[in-house]
Amino acid sequence: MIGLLSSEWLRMRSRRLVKVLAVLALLGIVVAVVIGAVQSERPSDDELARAEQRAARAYDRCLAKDAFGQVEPGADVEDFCRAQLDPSIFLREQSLRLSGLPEILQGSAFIAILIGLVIGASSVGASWQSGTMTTILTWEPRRVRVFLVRAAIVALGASALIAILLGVFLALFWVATSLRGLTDTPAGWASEVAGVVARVSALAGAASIISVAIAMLGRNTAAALGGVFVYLAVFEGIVRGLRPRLGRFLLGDNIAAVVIGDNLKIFDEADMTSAGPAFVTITPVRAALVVAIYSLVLMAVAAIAFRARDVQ
Amino acid sequence: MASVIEVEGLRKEYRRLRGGRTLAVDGLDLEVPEGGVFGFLGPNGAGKTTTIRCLLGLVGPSAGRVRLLDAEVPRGLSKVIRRVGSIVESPALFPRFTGRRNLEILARIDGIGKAAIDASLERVDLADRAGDLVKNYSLGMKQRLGIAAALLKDPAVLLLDEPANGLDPAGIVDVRRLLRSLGAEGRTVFVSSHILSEIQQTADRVAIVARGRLVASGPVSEVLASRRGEGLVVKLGDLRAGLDALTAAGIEATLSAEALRVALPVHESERVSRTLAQRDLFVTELRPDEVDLETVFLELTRDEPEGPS
Repeated sequence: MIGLLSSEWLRMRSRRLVKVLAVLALLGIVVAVVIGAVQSERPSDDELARAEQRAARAYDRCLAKDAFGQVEPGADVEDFCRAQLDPSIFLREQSLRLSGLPEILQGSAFIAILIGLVIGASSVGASWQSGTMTTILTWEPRRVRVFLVRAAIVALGASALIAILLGVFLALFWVATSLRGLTDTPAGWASEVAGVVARVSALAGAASIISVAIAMLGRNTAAALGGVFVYLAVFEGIVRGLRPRLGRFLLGDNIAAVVIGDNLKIFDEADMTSAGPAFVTITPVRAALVVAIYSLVLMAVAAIAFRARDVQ
Repeated sequence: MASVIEVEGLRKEYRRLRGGRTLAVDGLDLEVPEGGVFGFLGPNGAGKTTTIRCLLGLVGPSAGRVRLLDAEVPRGLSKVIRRVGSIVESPALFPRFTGRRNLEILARIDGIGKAAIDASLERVDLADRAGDLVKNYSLGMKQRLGIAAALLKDPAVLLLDEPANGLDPAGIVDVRRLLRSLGAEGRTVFVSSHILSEIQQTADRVAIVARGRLVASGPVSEVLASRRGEGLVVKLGDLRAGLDALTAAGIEATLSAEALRVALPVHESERVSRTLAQRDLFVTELRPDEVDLETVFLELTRDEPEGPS
C-alpha cells in the first residue's frame, strides 16, 4: 500500500498538466493582484478620518432605525450594523482592503473547483487513454486499492495545490494592500480567512474525487468533464427551476453553502404563505455532509464498476 | 516438471453493445512448464491476447479456470504478481514522462530501488536514452522500455505479447538473445508472436491456437515431427532423369519444382544415392523432408474447423 501511494504521488507531481495549471494559476494571481494594486489608491489621513466619521454615523443610524427592518427575527442588530463600520465603503476612491480578502477568496472557489475537476478527470482519463491503467494493474491487480489510492492522492494533491495558491494570493494581496491599500482588519479576520482557505481547498479535493469517479466510469477525461458540466449546468439548473425547494439536495447549492461558510437560504415554493415567500435554510455543516455523500456514492459506484469490468 | 501456467477450459465471450457476441477463447486448455521459452502462436483473432489478459486478471473468463504460479486468477493473483513481468500488446507507458521516470513510477509500487532500474535499462540497451520523453521514443525503443519494465521485478514468469513488434532486424536479434538468456536463467518466458521463425529459433515448447482453441502443443521438435513428411528431398542436375531412375528401381518418387521427393525413410538414403549413381546421376543435396514451424502453423490453423461465434 505504501509503495502504491508513493508511486501515485510521484506520478501526480510529475504530471505536466498539474504543473501547467499551477503556473497558469500563479500567473493569474500575480496579474490580478498587480492590476488591483495599480488601480488602488491609498486614501490620505484626512479622507480616512472623514470616512470613519461617516461610518460611525451610519452605524448609529442603523442601530437607531433597528437595522432598517432588514434583520431577521432572532438575529443580532449590532452584528448587522457592524458592517457599516468599515470606512472603506465611504471612500471616494476604490482601495484594496485586506478586510475584504475573505470575500475575494470565496469568489475564487469556482476556479479552485474547476482546477480540482480537471486534475481529477485527467488523472484517470489519461491513464485509460494511454493504456497505463493496464500497466499499473499488472503490478497491483487489486483494483479497488488502485482506485482508492489514486483518488486519495489526487484529492490530496488538488487540495494542497489550491491551499498553496490561495496562500500565495494571500501573501501577495497583503503586500499590495500594505503598499497601496488598507490593512485594517476586523476581529476574527484571520480565522475567517483560514476557514475560507480550508473550505475552498477541501471543495477542490471533493471536486477532484467526483471527477476521478466519473472518469473511472467513462474511462475518458472529456466524458468526465462533460458529465460534470451537464449535471451541474443542465440537470441541476432544470431541477432548481422546476422545484427550487429541491436545491437543498443539489450539489451546486450545497457547494455554495460550504464556500460562504454560512446559512444559505433557498426559495421554498412548497411553503408559500400569505406573509410572503418562504425559504429553506442549508447550514454549512449539512452542506458539507451532502457534498461528502455525493463524493462517496460516486466513489462506491466507480469502484464497483472498475472491479467488475474488463480492462482492454 | 511443475506447471507455472495452467489453463483449463478457458472460455471468453465478449458481448457487443449493439447485441451479438464474440467468442474470443473457446475452451482453451494449456499447461506451461517451469523454465525455458514457451511460444504461444496463433493467427490474428485466435485469442492469444485475451488469454494473456485472463492470465493477468485484466479480463474475467466467461468460464474455465486459470492458475498462475499455483495461484488462482484473479483471486490469488496479488500474492504472485510480484514474480510476474508482462507486456500486453504494445507496452502502455506514460508518454510525457521520461523512460526512467516511467520505470521509477512502476518500481515504487514494489519498493524496487534505483539499481534495479539501471540494470533493467542496461539490459535492454536503453540507458543512454533513459532521460528522453517516451513520446519521442521509436516504436522499438518503447518496446524495449516495456521489456525493461517487465524485467524490473526480476520475475520468475514473463508474459510477453508480441515483444518483437516494431523492432528492426537488429532489435529482433537482441530480443531473441534476451529471451533465450532469460529462459536459460530458469525463468519461464511465455511469449506470443506471429514471427514464427523467431519462435522456432527461441522457444523450447510451443502451443498453437486457432479460433480460441488449442490445436497443437508440446516441444517444438515434437510439434514439427507431428507434421513432418516421411521421406527425403533429393536435388540433382537432371531431375527428370533422376525420377526415371528411381521409378525404374521401384522407388516411389515425385517431381517438384526444384527437387525430387522420395517416399523412403531417412535410413534408406544410401539406397537412393546408390541407385542414382549407378545411372551416372550424382546428388547435390539429400536431406530429410522436414517442415518448418510456419508450414505446420499454416496447416494446423487452416485445418481448424470454424468455431462458434
